[in-house]
Amino acid sequence: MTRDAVPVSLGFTAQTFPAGVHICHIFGSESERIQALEHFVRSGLKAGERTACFSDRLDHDHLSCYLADNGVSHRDCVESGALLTDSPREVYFQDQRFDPDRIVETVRRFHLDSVAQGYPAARVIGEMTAEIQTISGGDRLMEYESRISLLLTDHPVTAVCQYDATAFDGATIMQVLKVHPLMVIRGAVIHNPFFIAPEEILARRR
Amino acid sequence: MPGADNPDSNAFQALDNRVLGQLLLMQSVIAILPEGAVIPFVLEGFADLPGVATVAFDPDPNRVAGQGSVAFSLSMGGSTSGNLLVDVVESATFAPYCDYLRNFCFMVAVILEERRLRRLTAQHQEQLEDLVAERTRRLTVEVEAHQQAVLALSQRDLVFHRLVQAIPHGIVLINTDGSVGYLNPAFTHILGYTLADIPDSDLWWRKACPDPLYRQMVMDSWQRAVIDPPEFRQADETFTVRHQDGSDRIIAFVAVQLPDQRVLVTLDDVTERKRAAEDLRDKNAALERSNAELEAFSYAASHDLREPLRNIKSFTTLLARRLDDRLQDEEREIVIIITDAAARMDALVRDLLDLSLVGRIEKPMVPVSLHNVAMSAMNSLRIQIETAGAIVAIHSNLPTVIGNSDELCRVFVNLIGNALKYRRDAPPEIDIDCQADGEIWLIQIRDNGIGIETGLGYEERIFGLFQRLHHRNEYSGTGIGLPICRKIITRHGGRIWIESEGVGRGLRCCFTLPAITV
Repeated sequence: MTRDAVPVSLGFTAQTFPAGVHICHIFGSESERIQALEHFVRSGLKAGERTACFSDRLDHDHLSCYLADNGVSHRDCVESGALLTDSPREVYFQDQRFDPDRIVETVRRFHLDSVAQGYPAARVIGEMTAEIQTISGGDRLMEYESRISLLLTDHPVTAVCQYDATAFDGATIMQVLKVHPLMVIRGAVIHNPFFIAPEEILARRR
Repeated sequence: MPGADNPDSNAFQALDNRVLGQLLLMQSVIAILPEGAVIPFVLEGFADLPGVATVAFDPDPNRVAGQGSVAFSLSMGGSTSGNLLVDVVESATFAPYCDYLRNFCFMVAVILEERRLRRLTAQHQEQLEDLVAERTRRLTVEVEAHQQAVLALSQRDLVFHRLVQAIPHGIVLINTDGSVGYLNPAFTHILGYTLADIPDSDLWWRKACPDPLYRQMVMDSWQRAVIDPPEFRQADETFTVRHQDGSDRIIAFVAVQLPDQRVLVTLDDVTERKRAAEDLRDKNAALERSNAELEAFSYAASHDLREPLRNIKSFTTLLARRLDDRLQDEEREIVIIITDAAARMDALVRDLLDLSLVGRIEKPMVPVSLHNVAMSAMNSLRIQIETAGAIVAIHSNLPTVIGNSDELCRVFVNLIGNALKYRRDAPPEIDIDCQADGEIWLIQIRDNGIGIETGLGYEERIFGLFQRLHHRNEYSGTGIGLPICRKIITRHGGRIWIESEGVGRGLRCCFTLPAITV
């Protein structure tokens, strides 16, 4: 499967991007995190995309109200399977370990399943929590992000990775920047000048 | 900046834009990073700059960079966080970015300084809030303690106020300028004046003691009587003070100087007490005179009565002897009745004389061993004791008292004699004991005799003159013994009484004597 040129809105600005972009969102406050999440989910559901959301502190009532204000029924989306929610721990740290192979495969299946169900596109927003720094396999984070970038070229799931600026050390934040081609910074989506091609990252690891 | 004539100008320009973009992005991200994450973030970002091998942070701003290294100061004004030391491998490649990096580091220094100041401000704020909280807590404790103290004080004030209002003693508070600060209801009750009547003490003195000489004397005494510091003292002087209604009252007072130099005076109306004491003294004197006269009369009467009695007895006996052969039996019995009556009357008069003699002649009061006295009494009754087969136990604890041994011996003889006389069929058992009871001795003479019937007032009646509970045919005597005992014991400062649990259950005769240290 190859990337199609479906333009999608990320919900942050009026800009559109081709489906399957890999975006990093470094947030400094909880309100900033929630706002980005809700905008991304709202734009996806509104466009009829299948949307997955991996967040520990998701206030469904608040999200429901926000979506309703924007003409989207939270309940309908959940019941139809258009909106999937889960905790980051269940998605990223199953069996108390971080396994990039399993997660990449999960994303791939998510895309295939979404296409099979007739969704025009699929998107994921997930918070990589600070637990990654201590859990078994956590040192494969850069490998994981690079492999996601590669996966998205064939399975264009639009992905936003959220990182808490106050929960990681500065060097890790910079490394995270280097594996995402796009960034959301202060509400704007920009191309990341620090981005290093995933092939190069994976080659360095080898 | 790279020159336009550089053959790789376009490529460099693109690279230049990328570096500028990186610096701008770092600046944006730094804005949301915590203070401690900034330097590691920048070091990691600088590592990818063109021509750079490694980057390190040196917190010492004065250390000189080594060969091949370029130092970028993270300083702003007088504040510095240290240097970023960039180890350059390709100087020509790196050189164009030096100015960018210097500006960038200045910006980072500004952010770090702002963060530092914000942190210090937050710390100061936190310390200030802690101090405020601690101070608030202490103030709360102090306020609560103060409120408790005020409450306790007000309650205590209330107690004292009620006390001052209710006590029957007059209280007046005199200020240092001589004005009257307070006087209580008892003061008004005793002397009739309210605070409005006597706003200052001078006016009070003039009203209370209109006579100037007497007033001066009272005021002098009052000045001498002011006690400082306060201590309990009985008022030892009394003064006559004029009541508002014009009557004279006798008062006793105590004056106390307070710490603020005011004087607190308490006064007691002793008018009635004084009058009652004088009245009692007058009555006592009259009673003593009456008693003395009565005793003199008794002595004289009994002494003078015996003469005609002796004549009746003598001449009746003489008449009977002369008419001996002419008297009929009936007349002989009459003669016997006359002589017996005369003898009995003589005995009565003699006893009366005895009674009047007790205390009439002032006998010496000296230390007397009651034990010896009791033994002496028992010796004088030896024949009666032996005849009755009586057992008399005199305990060794009988004390030495101040008294007259003859009179006290007479008491014991009377009481032991009564115990022997009013016996049952069984041999008499007489027990003489003593107990200390405070400042008096309690002497008890217990017997196993006939006792007396209780509840009929006999215990007191038998101390009456010539009072007897039995007919003289049953038990001999004139009924003067116990009155004499009472007179003797009373004269010795004691008291005498009898107790019985009923007829046939014995008698306990008790008397007290002062326990005077000999």
